[in-house]
Amino acid sequence: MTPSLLLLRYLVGRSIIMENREKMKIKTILQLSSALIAVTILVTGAVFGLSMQASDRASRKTNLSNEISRAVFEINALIRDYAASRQEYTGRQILTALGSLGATLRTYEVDNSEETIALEEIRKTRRKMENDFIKIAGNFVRKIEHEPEEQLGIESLPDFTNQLLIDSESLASFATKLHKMNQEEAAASRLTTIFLPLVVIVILLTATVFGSNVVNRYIVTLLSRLEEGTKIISKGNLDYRIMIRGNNEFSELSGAFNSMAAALKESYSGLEKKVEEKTHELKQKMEELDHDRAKDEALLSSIGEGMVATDKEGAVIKVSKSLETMFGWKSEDLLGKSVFECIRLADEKNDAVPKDNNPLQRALTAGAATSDPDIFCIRKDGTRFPSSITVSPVILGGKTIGAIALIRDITQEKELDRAKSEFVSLASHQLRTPITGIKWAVEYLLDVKGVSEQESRTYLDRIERTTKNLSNLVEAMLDVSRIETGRMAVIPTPFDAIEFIREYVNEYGVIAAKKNVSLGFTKHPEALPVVTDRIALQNVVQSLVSNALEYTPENGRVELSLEKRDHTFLVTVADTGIGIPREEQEKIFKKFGRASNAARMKASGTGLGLYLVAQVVKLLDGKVWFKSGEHDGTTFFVELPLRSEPRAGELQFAKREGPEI
Amino acid sequence: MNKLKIALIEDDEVLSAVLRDGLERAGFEVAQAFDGEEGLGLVRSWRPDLILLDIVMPKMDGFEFLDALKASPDSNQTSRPPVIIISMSGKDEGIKRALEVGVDDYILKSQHTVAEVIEKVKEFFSKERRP
Repeated sequence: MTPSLLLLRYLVGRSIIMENREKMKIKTILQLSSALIAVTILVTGAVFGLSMQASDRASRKTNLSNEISRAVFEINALIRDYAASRQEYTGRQILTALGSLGATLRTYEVDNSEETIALEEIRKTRRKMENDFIKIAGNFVRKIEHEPEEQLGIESLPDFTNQLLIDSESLASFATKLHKMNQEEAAASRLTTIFLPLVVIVILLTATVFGSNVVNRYIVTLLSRLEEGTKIISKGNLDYRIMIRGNNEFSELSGAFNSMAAALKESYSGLEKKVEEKTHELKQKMEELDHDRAKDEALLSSIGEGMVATDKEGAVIKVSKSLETMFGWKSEDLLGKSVFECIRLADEKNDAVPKDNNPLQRALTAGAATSDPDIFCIRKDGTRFPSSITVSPVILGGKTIGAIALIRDITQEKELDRAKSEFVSLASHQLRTPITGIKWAVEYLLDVKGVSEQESRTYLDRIERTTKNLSNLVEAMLDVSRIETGRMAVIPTPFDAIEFIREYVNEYGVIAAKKNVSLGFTKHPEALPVVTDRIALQNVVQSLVSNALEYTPENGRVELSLEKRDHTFLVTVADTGIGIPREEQEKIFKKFGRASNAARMKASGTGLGLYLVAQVVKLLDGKVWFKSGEHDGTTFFVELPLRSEPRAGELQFAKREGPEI
Repeated sequence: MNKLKIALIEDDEVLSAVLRDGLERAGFEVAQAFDGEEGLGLVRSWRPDLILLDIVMPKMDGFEFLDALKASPDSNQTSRPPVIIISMSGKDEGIKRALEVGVDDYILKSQHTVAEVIEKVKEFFSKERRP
């Protein structure tokens, strides 16, 4: 039976469920399992019921046959007893027994033909016996009833009882046979009633168990695969896909998980992309911000004016780099400190400016812009410089929350101013002197009586000279003004420098000769083509030569030379004149920076000649310098580019009048 | 009678010449110097009765001259000779400084005629002479 069971198991387990597992829904499988279990229970119940019934029946029959046998034996015994005693009572007992036997027989169910025959025999016999007995007993009873004292003497009774005995014997044998038959039946049915259901149950149970085992395993496998898969996905591996095929719930679930993973992945990558984009954007913004901030810092660093930003109490919030440089403080020294302590202000007399007067305080208090155009600032090291301070309050929501002060170092401006006013006073002095000279000379001539003709002549000469000087001075001053307003144009034209100088030397040689000074031009190349403003160059050379001639005494020599260099050419004017004393050399190119010995030598100089030479040379992109020593003569050098750049301007260089000796 | 000696320390040739002529015609003896240095030498050696002093001069200007003169140990006279400044500029600082140094008068050349200047000199001496 076991191998067949095993086969059964195999067949059931493998083929039905496993092969169809993917096609079947778990639901279906479970339903099947439940159904199977239910069926098992029902069948078991039925089988049990049936077997119960059968065994019931069997036992009942056994009881009956037992009863029959017992009754038969009882009848037998009674009959024997009767036969011996002939007691009426016993007779009645026999009847009762036969009656109940008859009843019993009637309840007996036959199952086969053999039983039927046996039972029929028993019945027959019993009936016969009953009838016989009744007949006899009836007679007897009647007899007894009618004749109570008479004892029956039944000669036929022994026959009758013998017959009864015989019958009861056969009854007994039939009963025994029946009984045996019953027992056989019972035995047989016992086999089926117990064994069969058991077998069926076992089969069904096994099938069920196995089936559900398989199903379980199947479910568990899928479940664990699902579990594993979801674990992997939940850990973050969104690329993992749970492979459960088919169209059962697990495959659907796994499908759902897979879609979810895919969707998550997509949204993540979408998110990632978004995050990347945003991060990129943010980075860009940060870079922009940094860039802007760097620009602001650069801006702040680049502003020439010192900047201090403070809060409403005057504590320093920010300073510009230029302020650090201006004052000698470092940013970290100043931050947070009171601006009134570190940025000290003083007036001309070097008295500290009281806080109330401090422009920064005024701005903070009044909430309006203030300025102090001329105030001194004191550096970290105690030195001071003139400054112009402008303070603007910072107003937010109607309230002053701080102030920004801009400090401009006006040392240069002041210097310029001072230089200008110095120039003005100097210039006015220079102008007034010849004017007063002329005036006095004229007054003298007009007032004084008895002026000789010679004296008159002298005076008129003086007047004439002074007038000329004054005129020259005015012209020179106008030249200065023209050059300083930057309206001079430079118009380069090509010409040969050699020819140019030679022409010049020829023209002024005559004048030089008059003064007994020789004017020479020997050291120069054959030709020297240049492109420069001819008239500007002429004015420069003229000024230098004129000076040379003026300050060289008789029998002296003025020598011009030209030299070609890489991109420039050099004009040299050397004289053997009075020279420029060392201590006065540094002011020689300055306005009215006339050396004292020059003034002695020739009173008529403007004092602006060399200043103008320097300016014109600068306009031509050249350089001018000199070598000199008192009494040792002077050599002036002018280096100009071979090719000058043109310069736009409203005014052109005009030929100046030649030197007047 | 000895002529009064006036040291004329002025750098402009023409101005100096006209003043000199005028003063000489007025009866003074005039010696010219054309810068402070020259003037110093002149004053120390010549001992004038009056110094007419220009301010703006090369080499040594008027104020420098005065300082040098004050520090001069060469002076036999207990005090230096009187000084009248003849200047072109009437700037406040100049006048103030002159007063601090202690000059006797301050004349602006540009504002006066030659005759007026000479008049002033004459006046000065007459005032001085008065006891």
